[in-house]
Amino acid sequence: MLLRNRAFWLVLPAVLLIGICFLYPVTWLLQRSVSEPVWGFQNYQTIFGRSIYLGVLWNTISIAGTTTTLCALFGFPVAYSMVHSKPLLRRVLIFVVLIPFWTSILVRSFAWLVILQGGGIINDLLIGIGLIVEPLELVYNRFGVLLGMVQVLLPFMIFPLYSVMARIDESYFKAAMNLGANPIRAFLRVYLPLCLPGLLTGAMLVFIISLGYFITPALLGGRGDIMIAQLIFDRIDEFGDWPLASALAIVLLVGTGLLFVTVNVLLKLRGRGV
Amino acid sequence: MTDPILKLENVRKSYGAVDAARDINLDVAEGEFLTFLGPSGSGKTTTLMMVAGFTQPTDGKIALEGKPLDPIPVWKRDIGMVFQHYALFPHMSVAQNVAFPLEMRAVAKADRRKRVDEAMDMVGLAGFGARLPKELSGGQQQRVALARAMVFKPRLLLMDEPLGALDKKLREHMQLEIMHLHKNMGTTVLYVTHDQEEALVMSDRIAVFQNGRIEQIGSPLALYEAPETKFVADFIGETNFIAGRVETANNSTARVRGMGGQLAGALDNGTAAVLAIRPERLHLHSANTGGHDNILTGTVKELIYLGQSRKAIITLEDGTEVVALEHAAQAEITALEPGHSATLSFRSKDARILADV
Amino acid sequence: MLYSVRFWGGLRGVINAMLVVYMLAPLAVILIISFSSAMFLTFPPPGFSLQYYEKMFSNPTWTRAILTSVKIMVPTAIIATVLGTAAALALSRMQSRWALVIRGILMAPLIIPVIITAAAIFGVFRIWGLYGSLPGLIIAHVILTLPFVMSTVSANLMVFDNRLEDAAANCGAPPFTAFRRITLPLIAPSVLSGMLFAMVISFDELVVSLFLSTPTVRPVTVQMWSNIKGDTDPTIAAIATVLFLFSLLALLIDGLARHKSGRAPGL
Repeated sequence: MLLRNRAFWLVLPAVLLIGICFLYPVTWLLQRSVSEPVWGFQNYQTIFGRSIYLGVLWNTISIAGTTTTLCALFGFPVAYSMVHSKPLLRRVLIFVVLIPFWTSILVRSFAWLVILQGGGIINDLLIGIGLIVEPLELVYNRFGVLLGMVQVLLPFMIFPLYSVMARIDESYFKAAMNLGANPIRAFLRVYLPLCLPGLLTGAMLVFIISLGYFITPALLGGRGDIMIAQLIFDRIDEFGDWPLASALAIVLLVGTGLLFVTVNVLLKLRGRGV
Repeated sequence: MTDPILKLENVRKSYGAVDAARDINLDVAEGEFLTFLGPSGSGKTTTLMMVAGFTQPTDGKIALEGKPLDPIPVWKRDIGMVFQHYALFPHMSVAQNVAFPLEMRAVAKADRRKRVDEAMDMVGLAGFGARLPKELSGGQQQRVALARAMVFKPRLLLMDEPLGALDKKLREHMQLEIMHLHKNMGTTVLYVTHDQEEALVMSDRIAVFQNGRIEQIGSPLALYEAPETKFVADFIGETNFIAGRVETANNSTARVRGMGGQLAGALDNGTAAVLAIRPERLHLHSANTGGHDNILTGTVKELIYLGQSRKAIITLEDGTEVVALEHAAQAEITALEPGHSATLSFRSKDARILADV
Repeated sequence: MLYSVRFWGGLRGVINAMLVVYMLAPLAVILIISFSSAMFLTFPPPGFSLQYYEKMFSNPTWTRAILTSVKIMVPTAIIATVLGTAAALALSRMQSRWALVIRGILMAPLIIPVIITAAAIFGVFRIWGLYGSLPGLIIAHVILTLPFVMSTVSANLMVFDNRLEDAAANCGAPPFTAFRRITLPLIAPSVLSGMLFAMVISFDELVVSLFLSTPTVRPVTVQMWSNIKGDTDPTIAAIATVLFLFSLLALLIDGLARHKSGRAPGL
């Protein structure tokens, strides 16, 4: 009883802080989507009724989807390579993935700008060797956004995949080949299904984080690459349009939540062998 | 008997509607080695934890040297304890581990060092003080835990399955060492184990736990030779049970299915009962020979050669299987063949009649 | 070809090389350019110079911004570490369903998209008068970093043997002594990890700071943001390098601590 009381006092400051300065503001923000300007769903009608907003929603989903696909395509071989490397090389590779992970997104986006922009390194180089005459448009477009986002989000794909692959017993693969499957069939029928939980977890993380992404698309994207987070920022920062920003926040939150629940249910069903 | 050092009266511990321990009454004499024996979940560890102070009893009294322990927190009880898997502090050297209880008791530094050395010497680990626990083998860690629990000369030493993590050979060696330490130091020990052989070897007395209660307390000899319940007879050693009803009961003896035995407790005629007889008390004959009060006949099902002895599994006429154990020398004389008939006999004073629950 | 060890080995080499280039090249470019003697961002730099670093330390806009970031980071790291560690300890001792609920509440800032947190805190803090103030930014940063400290310490406590505290009590140590002598030294590496990363997260934080800062109270990331969005001042390369080296230092210290305590490197 005494111990339980002590635990209560230990956790109380953190709970109070998060409750008052986080949960309360979030509910305060979210309720404004239905209470202003008058009670009702008019803000949602605006979002789902106007092509500019629908365009932003579509941008958000398609950028998140493409980022996830690219992360999976690149992350899978990288994770595989990590698992099958000698310990020293594996440490180096993990460190290589961790360094940018802990570096400010702002710093990395700035670096991409320096490399990709009109007078940037790549264009200078290509013009210098005479391969092109006019600078290529490598940034302030979808290409720049994806290049930047995949680099930032790749670790979220690599680490879940890595932890699943590290536990897969190679003898399954050998057994499949021994039973007459060629390497490609063995890979598709045995190895890939075993990796699926890691792939699913990684994809969910990348997709969910992409949905709310702000800095990278804002710095590396063009006018056609505005995502929902940037729209929320602009609505508040430029127009003070809280009700609409709040409705957008709800849309983002509900989308994120639904995805999270769906993937977790899928993982549980798989875990039960259904 | 002088005043007990530790006294438990009607102690009960309940978690919601479930009693983890109940009706615990126990007197522990000064210098005694008392073992709590029982299957997991039988309440033996719960009882030990109540003595140590990690668990508060729901009801009842626990007194050490006549003073109630209830208001005294764990860290003021002066009771030593050896934990399962030792619980050595991994970031401290062996010497620091052993010195920790002395430090807590504000023992002066010079004295502390002397007593740590003594304790390390006592468990045969002199010179290992600077090592970290993880640099020692399981048996050595076990000794460090023992030194740490005894260094402050506790009035009572508790041990919670201390040998559970060791292999059989090392376990048997450590059993003897702990017994010798106990003899030399004279500390009162409460020892928890689920290993009946360990309990028989080490203890002055054993308390057999079952379903949160103490089934029987007694010396190893009493528990083995005169179990009072079917559970005790079954849990300690191997026993044959022949089921039936109590007949011609008097004060101390009765019969079951016409065979005599010592009556454990007051059982009325007609009560469901078992006649319990140890395999080594069953005598085998290839042909019908008399000499004993009780005769059983059956067919040899299987003979198992065990080196110094031989086990014979006999199917009685009603289908009950019994086991008889013979010394190798005797086994040579009673020539048996599987499938052949055999006759068994035993003395009424070797059999126990127990309530069949 | 599919059966050739050489082919697969070569392919893996290519993949590893691509990873290294993709992950590190942008950072390397920034690092190199920050020592450039050119007046604008060009690569490769024509010569070596510390001009950007000199500008960074002589321009009051940048020095003030860096100082502001430090003034936010230090209290943030201390508060988040103390509260987060206390919460992790408390939750490891609670067995009721409440523990799950509380853990969920405390982890929420890590799960909810930062843009929502930022907008919500901005709206309410403006009403409370915390907008544009150091305390406001510190509180916001504590909210973002506390879940991180808590989950790092919690992960350590999951493998912490609770009976060690029991053993200490049995040896005669009162609860606080047992905590100070046994528990704290054993969870110290994860507390250090949590604190280091609270520092890095606070120092690198942009989204919430963007909402809460004003021209007078402006952390370095916000200053960088408005510079990048406007006409790019090459001094940013030096600032970015400082930020990067700070993260790298934290990661190295953490790596050493983990190596010493035998934990795997992690996120």
